[in-house]
Parts: sequence; C-alpha cells; structure tokens
Amino acid sequence: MKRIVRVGIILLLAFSSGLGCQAIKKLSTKPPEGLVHQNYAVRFSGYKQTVMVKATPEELVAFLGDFRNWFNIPGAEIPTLEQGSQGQLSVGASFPLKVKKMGIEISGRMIIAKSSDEELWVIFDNPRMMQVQRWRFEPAKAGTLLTINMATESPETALTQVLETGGVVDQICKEIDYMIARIQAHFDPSLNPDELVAGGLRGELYESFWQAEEISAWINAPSEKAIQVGLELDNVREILSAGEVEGLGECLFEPENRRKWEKGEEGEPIFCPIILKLAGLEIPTNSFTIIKPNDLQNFFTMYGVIMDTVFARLKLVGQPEKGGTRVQLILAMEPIGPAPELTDALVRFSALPQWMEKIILGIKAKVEGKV
Amino acid sequence: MMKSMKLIKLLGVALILFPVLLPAKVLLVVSSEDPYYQEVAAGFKKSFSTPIEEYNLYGLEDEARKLGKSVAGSPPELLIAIGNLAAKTAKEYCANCPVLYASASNTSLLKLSGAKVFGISATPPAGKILENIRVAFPEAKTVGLIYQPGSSGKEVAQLQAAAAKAGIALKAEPINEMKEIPNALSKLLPQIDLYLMLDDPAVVTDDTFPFIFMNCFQKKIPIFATSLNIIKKGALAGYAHTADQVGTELANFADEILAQKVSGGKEKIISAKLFLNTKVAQMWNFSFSSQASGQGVIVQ
Repeated sequence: MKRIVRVGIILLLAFSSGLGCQAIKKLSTKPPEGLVHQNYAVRFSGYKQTVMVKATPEELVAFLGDFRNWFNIPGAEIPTLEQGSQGQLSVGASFPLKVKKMGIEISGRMIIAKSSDEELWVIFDNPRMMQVQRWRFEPAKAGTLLTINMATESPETALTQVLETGGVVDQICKEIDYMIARIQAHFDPSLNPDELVAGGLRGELYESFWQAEEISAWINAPSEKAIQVGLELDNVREILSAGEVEGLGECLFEPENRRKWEKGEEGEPIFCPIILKLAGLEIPTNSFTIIKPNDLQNFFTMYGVIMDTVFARLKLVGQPEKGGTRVQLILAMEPIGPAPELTDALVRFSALPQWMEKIILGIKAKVEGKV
Repeated sequence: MMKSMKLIKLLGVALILFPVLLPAKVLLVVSSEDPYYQEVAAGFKKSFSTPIEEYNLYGLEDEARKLGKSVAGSPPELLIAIGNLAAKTAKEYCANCPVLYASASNTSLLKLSGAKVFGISATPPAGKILENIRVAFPEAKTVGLIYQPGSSGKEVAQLQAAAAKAGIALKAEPINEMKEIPNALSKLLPQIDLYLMLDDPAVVTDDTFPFIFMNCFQKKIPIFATSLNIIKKGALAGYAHTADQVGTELANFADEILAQKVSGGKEKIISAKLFLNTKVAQMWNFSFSSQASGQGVIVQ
C-alpha cells in the first residue's frame, strides 16, 4: 500500500512539474514535420602558458616533429609511437592517443590541423569531448617564445564535474608544465625542470565558448538505413554540392581517402581542402572527416580550420525516433573576432543555418528516396 | 688622514639619520612588450627624474618568478607595476613593499591593497563614462554589462549611482564564474541597446572577447569599452586612458609617494578620452554624430 502511495506521489510530482505532459505528448503525437532549429554555446576549458625556449622556431618544430622527444605525460599512451613518428607534423597526419588519469580513460585521435614554423594546431578527436591545441613559435632575442594553448570541450556532464572537482585538471596542467619544462631543459641544459615547476602552475586556466547551430529533421527510415544512405559516397557528393561545398566530393573519391571512408572504424581522418560557398563568398577550409558507421551518435564528424583562422566541427548524429530517425546536423565553431580580413565572413556566417538546412533536407530526400 | 676619516664617519651618520639624501631604489616592472604598456613606461620615464631600475617580464611567469626571488631578498623603496602580470608579481613576491600600479585591471581580484599600496585605477570616472556614452550613442537608453562582483563590483556600484543621475538605465548582470557568460549574455542582450564592456579580467579576456563580440554583432548591439586595448580589439567606441597620460600621472604620483606627500594607500581615478573605432563602425554600417566625431579620437 505504502509503495502504491509513494508511486502515486512521484507520478503526481512528475505531472505537476510538466514532465508528465511531455511524456503524454511524446506518446500521442506524430513525429514533428519540418526542421527544428536550436543555437547555444559550447564551453571549452583551457590552459595556456608562454615560455622562452633557447632554440630557433625551426629547431623547435623539428624537435617536436618526433613525439618520442617530448610527449611523455604519465598515463598517456601513443600506440604508434614506437614505430617512429618523424614527419607527423604535416597537415592531416594523425595518431591514436589514450590517456588514463585517476581511473578515467580517455582515448581518441590527435590530428595535425595546421603546421608551420610559426604555428602548430592540433585537434584531439573524442566523441565526448574534443580538444584543440595551438602552439605558437615566436622568434625572440633569447630564442623562441613558445605559447601553448589547450582548450577542452566541457559539456555539462558528470564526467566534466569529476574532472573539474576531483583535482584531475590541476594534475594534468602540472604534467603539461613538466612536459614544457623538459622541452626548455633540452635546449638549455642549465635549466632544471623540477626547479622550473617548483613554484606552482606556470600557466593560466581560462574559459572560451564556441557557438553551436543545430538543425534536425525526422526521417522516415530506420537508423541503419539512414546511416547507410547518408554515408554512400555518391550521395555525400551530391548532398554537399547542393549545400555548396566544393572540393570535398572529388577528394573523397581519391583511392586512399575512399579506403579510409570505407574502413571507417579506425577513425583515421580524411584530409580535404574544401571551399565553402556562403552567400556568395568563397571560404577556404581545411577539413578532416572521421567516419564511424557503427556509431549512431558519431557516424560523421568533420573538423575544420576555416580561413586558416578558426576551428569548427560539423557532426551528423542519428537517433531512433517513432519508427524513424531524427538526424541532427550540429555545427560548432569558434567565434570570429572583428579582424578586418574576416569582416565579410563574419557577415556571411549569418547564412550558415540556411546552408545547413540545404544539407539536412538533401539527406532526408535521399534517405526517403524522394529524389 | 684623521680628518678625512672623521668626514667619512660624519657622512655615514648623516646618511643613516637622513636617508632621503640617498637616491631611492625605485623598481619599474613592465608586464610585457605590449605596445600600450611600453608607451605607459615611456611616458613615465619622460616625467620622472629619480633614477630607476627597469625590468620587463615579457609576459613570462618564469621572469616574474626570477624577479620575485630577487625583490624578496632586496626589496625596493617603491615598486612601480605596469600591467596585470607586474601587479601579480608585486602581490606575490613583494607583499611588504610600497607598490604603485597602473594599467592593471586585476588588482581587486588580487586583493592588492593596503597602507603601502597606491595605484591609478584602470577604469575612468563613472560619470564621465556615461557622459561619453551619451555623446557617442545619444539614442542609447538601456546600457548593459556583465561583471564579476569580486573584480569590478566597486566600479559597477559607482556606475549605477551615476546612471541614475544621467537618466540611463543600467542593467548589470553579475556572474561568479566565466562559464556563466553565455547565459548572462543571452539574458542581457534582449534588454539593452548598448553593451558596456568594462576591463574586468574575470569576464573579458582574449578568449571570451570574440564570443561576446560575435553575440553583440549578431544582435546589432554596439560595444562601448573602457580600455584602449578593448576598443582597438573591436568595440565601436570607448572612453579610455591614453598610455602617455597614464605614464605622466604615474610619474607625478610616484614623486608624491617618495616625497611622502600621500599616505594610507590611495587609488587615483583619472579622466580619459573618447575614442571611436571607425573600422568597426564600417562593419556595423554605423555613422557617428558630428559631436562624437568632433570630440573623439580615431583609433587605428
């Protein structure tokens, strides 16, 4: 009896808080037709520091090119490291990475997104939280001013809370400090890494936010079919050209890229320089596409460096809904500051939702066989 | 020989009794190579006649630590800190030194205060900020800002008092942590027609600025700032100190402190200039009134 009363109270509370109404709505209504739009901020938590390294930028970049020289964070593993990684700093190169800290294991893939004697940009692809790194090499009288900037996506999840409150972040920052101190000591043996890190964290923690635009549509097909049709190369080429993306289709058909696309699971990125046509403006973008056909939540992820300036991520996500599939296209990108050379792009980016609509409608039409 | 020995002894006693006869050890610490800080330092040196030792931290924590160890062993008679890193170094390594800071917006966060701490506020007078908003944006009725109470609560209280007098509605949205910025911004922007960007390091950084800027840009809310760096970064206009002006004021203030004409720790609030960012105005298709164009200095 007591149990029935308890259940009754819970139901009453649920209904009075509106949850019940939503549940009834879900049960009784047809799948919503048309497109659903949403926009929101994506939070990134970062750590950055600037140090002086007694080397020229060229010497430093050459040294960083072999990860065995410096990537030695306890708990981090690069499975391909022993094979040698010289030359991996070229754009599009990637390697898998696994980090285990205080019982939490995060694995993913590091992708070199931009590389020169002035800058190195790296993306860490992980389905739950991506990371972006910017390394800047600035020539100075005493060597090179090295600035490292690492920002990790921090969604409002239990894992983020554990990472932020359990001291994991501080520990990781400390290890980054050590890693950088060792790089400095390599070029200046008079420096002692232990002494360099002795006075507390050498860098600063910071926050940044990306803007996300999400558009979804309900597709009258089971998820497997949606993925299968959505990942068919011919369809992708057609859909993207309707969305006015140039260069991707041809690039994907190159044998090596086609192999990566079809192999999928290993998550090797497909690097393609593309042109995004937005409201009459051509926006050059370096894209890195990762296909995971067996993962409905992450079957298509495209990272990008837009106009050599900002990071972006485009994800296609599927979710079973009412006998069909809800397909969401989510674009998250760093906000563009008011640099004069980016003014046109800044104005044109307001057309992004329409551009995304075209793509998602293209997918819907293909999967439902309406074209 | 005996006579000269006596003379030396007398001189020694005189120097102990009247230390003012010795040149003061003044240490000028500049945070980085940032052109604004360098210009403040140049303005200071132009107007300050006492010999100084100068140290550039180049924006490096390592340099701050190196200097910190040295000043802890041999504290200066006055440490002049230009910029945030220099202010942080003074707080962490020279807690008992007399400190004079300028162009440092982090002093409230650092709790850099006390009987031996002097400074020039990074924020101009509240009344003048609002007066200049009126000149640049005569149509603005509701002005909004985001702030962290522990960092710029004092300035916001002054602005609120001044806004009531100026007939401007001021909506101030407090946050405790930076992660609250997106929510605060989406709550604030629909209610305002001008965003007032204070130089509050707990809100505006190189990393959060583009997000605030882009949101304001998309909603067509112009930004008015109180620091020259932020105006140059992308505000439409602002009321801010020039580096030369800060340098001169800093030199005068340092002279007063060394001559013991001021005591008890004091922060000076100095007036500033109206700046207009015409490049950003072009992006917004915005034209300044003839009054604003007449009074304002164009930033490059």
